[in-house]
Amino acid sequence: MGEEELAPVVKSRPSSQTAFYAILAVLVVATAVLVDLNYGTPAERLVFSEVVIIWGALLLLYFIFNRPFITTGESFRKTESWVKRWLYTTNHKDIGILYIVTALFYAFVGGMLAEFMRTQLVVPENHFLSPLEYNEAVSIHGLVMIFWFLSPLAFGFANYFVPLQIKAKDLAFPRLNALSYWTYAFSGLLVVSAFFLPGGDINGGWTLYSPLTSNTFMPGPGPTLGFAGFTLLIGSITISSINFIVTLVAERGPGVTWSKIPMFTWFILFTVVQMLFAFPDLLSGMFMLIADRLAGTIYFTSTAGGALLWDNIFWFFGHPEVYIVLLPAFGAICEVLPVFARKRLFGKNAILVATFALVVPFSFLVWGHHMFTTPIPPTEKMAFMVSTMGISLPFDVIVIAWLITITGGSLRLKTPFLFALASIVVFIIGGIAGVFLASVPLDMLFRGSYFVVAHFHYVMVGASVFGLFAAFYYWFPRMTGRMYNEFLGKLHFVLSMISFNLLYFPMFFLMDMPRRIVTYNVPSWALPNLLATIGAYIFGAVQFILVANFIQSMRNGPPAPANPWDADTPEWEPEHVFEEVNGGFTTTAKITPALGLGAGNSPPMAKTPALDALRSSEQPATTTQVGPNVVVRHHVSTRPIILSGGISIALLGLAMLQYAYLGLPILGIGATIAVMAIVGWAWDDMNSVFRIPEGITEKWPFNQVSRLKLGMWSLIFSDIILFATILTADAYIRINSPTWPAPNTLHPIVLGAISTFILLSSSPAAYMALDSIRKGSTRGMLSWLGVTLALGSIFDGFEFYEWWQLFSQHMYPSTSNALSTYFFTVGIHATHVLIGLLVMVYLIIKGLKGGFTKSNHEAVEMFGIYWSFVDALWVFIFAFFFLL
Amino acid sequence: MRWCQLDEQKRRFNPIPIWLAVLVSTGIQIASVYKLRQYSIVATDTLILLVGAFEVTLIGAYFMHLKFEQKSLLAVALIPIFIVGAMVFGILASVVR
Repeated sequence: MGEEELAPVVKSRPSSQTAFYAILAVLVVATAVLVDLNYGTPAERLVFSEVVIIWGALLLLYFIFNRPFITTGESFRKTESWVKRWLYTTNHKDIGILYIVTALFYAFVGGMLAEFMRTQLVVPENHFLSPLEYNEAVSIHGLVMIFWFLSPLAFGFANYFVPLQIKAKDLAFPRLNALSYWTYAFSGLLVVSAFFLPGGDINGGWTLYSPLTSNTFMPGPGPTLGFAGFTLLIGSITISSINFIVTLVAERGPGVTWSKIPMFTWFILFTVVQMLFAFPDLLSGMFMLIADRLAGTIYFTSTAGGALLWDNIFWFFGHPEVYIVLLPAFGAICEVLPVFARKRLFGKNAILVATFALVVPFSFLVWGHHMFTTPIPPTEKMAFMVSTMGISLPFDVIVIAWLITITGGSLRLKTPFLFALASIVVFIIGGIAGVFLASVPLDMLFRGSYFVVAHFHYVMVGASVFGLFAAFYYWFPRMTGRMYNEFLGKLHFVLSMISFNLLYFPMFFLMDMPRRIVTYNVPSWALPNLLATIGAYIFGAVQFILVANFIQSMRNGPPAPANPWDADTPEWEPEHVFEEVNGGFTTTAKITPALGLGAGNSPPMAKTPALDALRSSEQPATTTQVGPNVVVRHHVSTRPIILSGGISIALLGLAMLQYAYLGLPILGIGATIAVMAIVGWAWDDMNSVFRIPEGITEKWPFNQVSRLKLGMWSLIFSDIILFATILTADAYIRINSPTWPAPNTLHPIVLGAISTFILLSSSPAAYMALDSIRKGSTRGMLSWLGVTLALGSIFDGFEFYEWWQLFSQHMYPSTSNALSTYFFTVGIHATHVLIGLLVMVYLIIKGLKGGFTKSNHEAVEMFGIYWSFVDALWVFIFAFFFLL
Repeated sequence: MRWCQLDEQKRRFNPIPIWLAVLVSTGIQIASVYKLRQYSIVATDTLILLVGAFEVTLIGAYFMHLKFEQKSLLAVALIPIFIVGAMVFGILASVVR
């Protein structure tokens, strides 16, 4: 398809859209100002907030029926501006760049907080920060660095290079990829902006230990907003995990078998598998924490749940998180070492087996070593000690394989190699320190001291960041088409290595200094703290060398050769043009850096679009001239950024709910925007504006499984962990509670039985809908979907009726452990049902418009799987609360 | 031929017996609370959980179509089961003192 065919049929942007944005902005600002000034009486403010909500609802209706945000190709083919490209892109390279840049921004934020902390500790008895400010700085530094810098930086590279390494066109779900990015970006803003709300930001440490993070000890909307932002990030991560898993399984190009997948991609696969199963556990913990703060549940504030329950939930996620941060860097090191040693990677299969068969599963079996100083049973401590020591063994295999790889090699001491080597060295130091902490008696001594701080910074900063720096320099020519300045790169390496060790090595000698104190007056701690602070200043400052080097090199660096390192992995090969030619495809395009700053010495392309961005001619696209003869087509959608923005505003309103006159309108506006984006998304799907092609994966081991089904099952797997965590927490509280109501005393079995009968009857109805459309009967499908919708609605109605009954008897979530767990668990399940009902409405509307046929009804099947999963969950919930 | 037509016939089943089995199982659970619990709470609770697991297996196998899917998908479905098992065992073990 030539550029000419993209000639725009431009519809001018409706003035109503501009008016809509303007009205929204005025309303938000006016609401904030009026409430901030404490304008009027409470009644007047209530009226004002209601007016805002009604405005939002009217606007919603208007925009639903006038479809203002339609991203049809027509209206957006003219989207050529630089800003719009980056705001609306769904292209994996662009999103990779966005991830990297945003991660660096958050690194700056987290780094500044670290400098504040080190300044506070530079001398004894310092008062640079107040205790609250120090606690906020510590907490947000940890959270931002781990969740908004390290992993997203790795996923910037993953977005860019995984599709190239497996010769895929893009990720399996490009819009979801954009949604992942924008929710990530906005979630960080929520967390950081919480500094400026009443109550300040999260100040209970990055581990969010509850009940320290409860309303009692950390009141105010600020921390709530921080938790809400963190929860949004987990949603982003879950979506991203599913996307990568489906991509890696289903989107590999012809000939890219599992054995031919490069190491970086393998390690990304290991990472996303861990993410898929670890983060839902934390998500349920965050839901409980927010419910404790906003809805009055008592998961972590009652003695039956409390700190030990949070510890278990958090660290079950927390230890896999260490490897989630680490493994992408390991993947990059596996790419860099053989290239710069000019040898094959030694023991590739051993590395893969050690990681997949040992590291990944064992990461879920070692969380208890973070709890050796808690009152868990000694037997359990022993078990966790053994498993923790055991998990160090596969890492020995990996490190030895790396060392053998470079031994005897013809080394090129370029910056990527130096950083990779530095990563190995500091990982060994940090890893050895970690083995001490695996021992119960030694952990009793070191726990909560700066020895632990040194250990995990050697692992997470040294090994991970240095490994990703190696990736940065290694792939810079591929991303920009320019070479970086080698001298500045080596200067960055030398100064980073020296300052890093100056910063963290003295902490090993502070094994008697508690890690969470705001100041100290012990003379022997002064020198190590002074050295560490000097190291922190230098380490922070030298990172600007990297930024300056890259900015300067992007603008004026020498053109990069097509394959400057003589690497043999597919991302350095010419990209494939995915045009079907008699069942095969041709390769005509050359390297096309996303940043569009030159394609090195690649031969010029005659108006050939870089079809790595191309998924289907039906998708909307915009073009960007990135070189004299290179045109890149970008597939755009406004939905992800609008949806993410709407959710973020709604969460801001949710956090502000205790200031009802401010919180409600903001919540309403945010929800309105989000709903509009969802409706727009559904409209796109209904009209095949942004259609994901159907098809079986044709890739072992899921030869007969469609992409959507694989995605749905991945989602269900993560949901299984979510509900398992909730029900385990319920069981934990129940076992710990001195009393628990007998069956049929608090919740009438008859009522539960009727609800159960209704819900379990809806699964066969959903199946009948599928069976009808398989036979080609749209009317039958619609009828059965209607039955399912009715049954689901009645079920949710019964649940709300029981809630109302309990409320009328003055039984609230805060009344008892039994009620707390009941309201929360049933509430989460009812939300799942509600989501299913909304999906059903969409399916019915699409069905009425003839959107499903005998051969095209995959969405109906996916819905049926989801709906039946929700039914299956209820079986356990019914048993737990009504029968046991 | 689209993917969903590939083995359409194999994927069809009569949902009524499965539905009835699930409802009868629920009935057994409820009846056990009234008739069995007075004799042994542990036995009743165990029965309720086992019957519940049976119901979920039926729903998963038929209404979620696992019975008709590739075995590899079924195998992958065991991963969260393993993780859930580890979590339940580890967390609840810390209560037992």
